[in-house]
Amino acid sequence: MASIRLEKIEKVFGKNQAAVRSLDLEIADGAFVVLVGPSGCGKSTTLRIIAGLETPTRGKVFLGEQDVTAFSPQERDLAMVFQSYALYPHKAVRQNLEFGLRMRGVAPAVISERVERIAKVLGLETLLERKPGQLSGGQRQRVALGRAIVREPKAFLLDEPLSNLDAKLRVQTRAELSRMHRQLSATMVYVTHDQEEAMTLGDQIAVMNQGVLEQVAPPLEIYRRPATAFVAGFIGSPTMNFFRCTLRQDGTPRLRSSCFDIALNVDASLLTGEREVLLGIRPQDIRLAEGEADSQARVDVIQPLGNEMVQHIKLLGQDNGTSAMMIVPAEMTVQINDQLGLHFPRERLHLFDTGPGRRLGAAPR
Amino acid sequence: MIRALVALRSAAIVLLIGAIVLGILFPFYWAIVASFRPETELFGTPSLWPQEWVTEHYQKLFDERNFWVPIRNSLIVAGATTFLCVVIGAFCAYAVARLQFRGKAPILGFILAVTMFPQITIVSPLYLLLRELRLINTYPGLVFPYLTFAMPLTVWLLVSFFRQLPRELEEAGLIDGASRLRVFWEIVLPLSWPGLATTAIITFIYCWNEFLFALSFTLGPERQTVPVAIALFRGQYQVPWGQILAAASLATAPAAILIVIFQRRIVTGLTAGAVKG
Ligand SMILES: Nc1ncnc2c1ncn2[C@@H]1O[C@H](COP(=O)(O)OP(=O)(O)OP(=O)(O)O)[C@@H](O)[C@H]1O
Ligand SMILES: [Mg+2]
Repeated sequence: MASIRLEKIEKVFGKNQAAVRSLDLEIADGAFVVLVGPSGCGKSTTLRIIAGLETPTRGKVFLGEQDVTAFSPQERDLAMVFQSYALYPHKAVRQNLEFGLRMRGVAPAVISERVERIAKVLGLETLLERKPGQLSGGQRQRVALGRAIVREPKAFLLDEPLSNLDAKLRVQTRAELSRMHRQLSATMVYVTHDQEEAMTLGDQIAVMNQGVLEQVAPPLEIYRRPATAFVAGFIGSPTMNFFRCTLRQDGTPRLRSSCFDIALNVDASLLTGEREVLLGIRPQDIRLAEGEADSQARVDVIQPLGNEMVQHIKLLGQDNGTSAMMIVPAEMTVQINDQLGLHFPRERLHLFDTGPGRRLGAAPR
Repeated sequence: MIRALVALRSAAIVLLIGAIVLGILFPFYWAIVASFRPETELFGTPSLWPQEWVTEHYQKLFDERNFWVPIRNSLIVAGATTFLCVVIGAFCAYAVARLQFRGKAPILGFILAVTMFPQITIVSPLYLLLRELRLINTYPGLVFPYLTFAMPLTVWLLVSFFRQLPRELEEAGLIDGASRLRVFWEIVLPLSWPGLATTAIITFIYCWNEFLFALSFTLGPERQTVPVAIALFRGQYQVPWGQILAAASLATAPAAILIVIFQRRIVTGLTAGAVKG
């Protein structure tokens, strides 16, 4: 087992195709870190750099205290599960499981004992003599996991290992993975583009966008205090509502747009003058006003989801108003074109600057 | 009206294809059929079907001309060349297909250029070289020159086969702790045997059919290959057409058999080589 540290990692493909930019990441021994981000943001590249399949253009990779940047994958002793599973098609399941141990010169008796044990844990005993081509998707996935586990490597790297499974099997396997991580207490780096998967699996989530690591934090912190507008928009479903507005300080700070004008209860000393900001609020956090409303909205579309209801609304203001989404209890009686008074709980507001989208310091918790 | 036109067009296409196929196959048909005609009938009025079938040309081929010797020579030379090409070429092709090293593109271009080199231009220098090495009229004296054109062909075909293999399998092997060589041996080779077999067959047929080098670098019947032997057939008073046709039919046999058996594989192999790389 080992910790993993990436120092100022850059990866440029070809002349100037930057896949990863100045990435610093520290993964503690035994942690379960999920790398998440949209397609093409450099997750796989990062993982492959850790594995040694890709050499970083700049920067260093550490395993424990050792600088392994120049090490081959062979010397790093990590295990990786590929999205396509990459099982050796010409070898039976048993030989697939044995391969890594055989390559590392483990004694045959030990190999067969370990393979048998893993096969039992993963329910593969009856499949050991089959070729990968004769297995179902879920079974292949388990063999791929087994091939990684049986080696007892320093750390596990998983690149979207569940994306080829159907929804139900994915949920099951996720739970199994969580349990496995607890049992093995192994370091795991898990890549996915599915934010929900990231939230349920990781003890740390690292959000990437266009080669840049935007934030690393535990799931709840990522959800509650997203460091950038990108993270705020990427994590959580449905996505956060964003409104451009003006933050103005005359006495108490106020947020103004054509749709609303709300007073904030933040430390005013941090805010100077007048500036454009991005206000974010999650659909789950918008409330119906009981007293005076922060904003008026008209209901556009209603999507019942069983125990709750997604409403697409228009905040009334200039032009055609501003689109937004909110989630309300399913019991609420509401009809299309109804007008609602909305309340934005101050502690649930997120403020970002309009340029790079950084969270504004003292924004309320 | 339109329907009639369409029907007419497809009929025309069928007819055209039929004519082309017929045109290509007819000489083969004629040669094979003629090799079973008695000598007298060969020069009589031509007929599509022989009046009388005889095997005397084939018998004479082996009884009088000892046709086994050129067959043996061809098998040895083509076999040895193919073996060397596939074994050495596989390593070379894998390196080109997968490893990063300086000057890869020029090397590949060079390999392609060599396959297009007109053979005739290197016959005399090669002859001098082989004479110096005392390899004229020996098996190695044919195998080495054959490598010059067969090796680039082999490498070119194998590169495209190796590139088709999913990269992740090899990466999985590396991560599992295998060295590059081990990955090549345990994962790449077992998975690419169809490619290796196809390449071997194509290379073998090329060598089997080769004429110019075999003619230039052999001196007598004891080392001549099949095409050379056939070309040098002489009777005492006349050209033995019957035997030549019989020998030609036999010489085509291995290629024809191999191609019929592995038809589909070879086609994909050739196109892979054409499109990729
Ligand atoms: N071998 C390569 N050569 C050139 N560009 C590459 C190479 N591998 C990746 N890239 C580019 O680097 C960027 C990041 O790729 P990467 O595979 O890391 O994305 P990803 O986050 O894993 O995406 P996905 O979720 O689709 O798998 C992409 O723009 C991709 O086109
Ligand atoms: Mg990826």
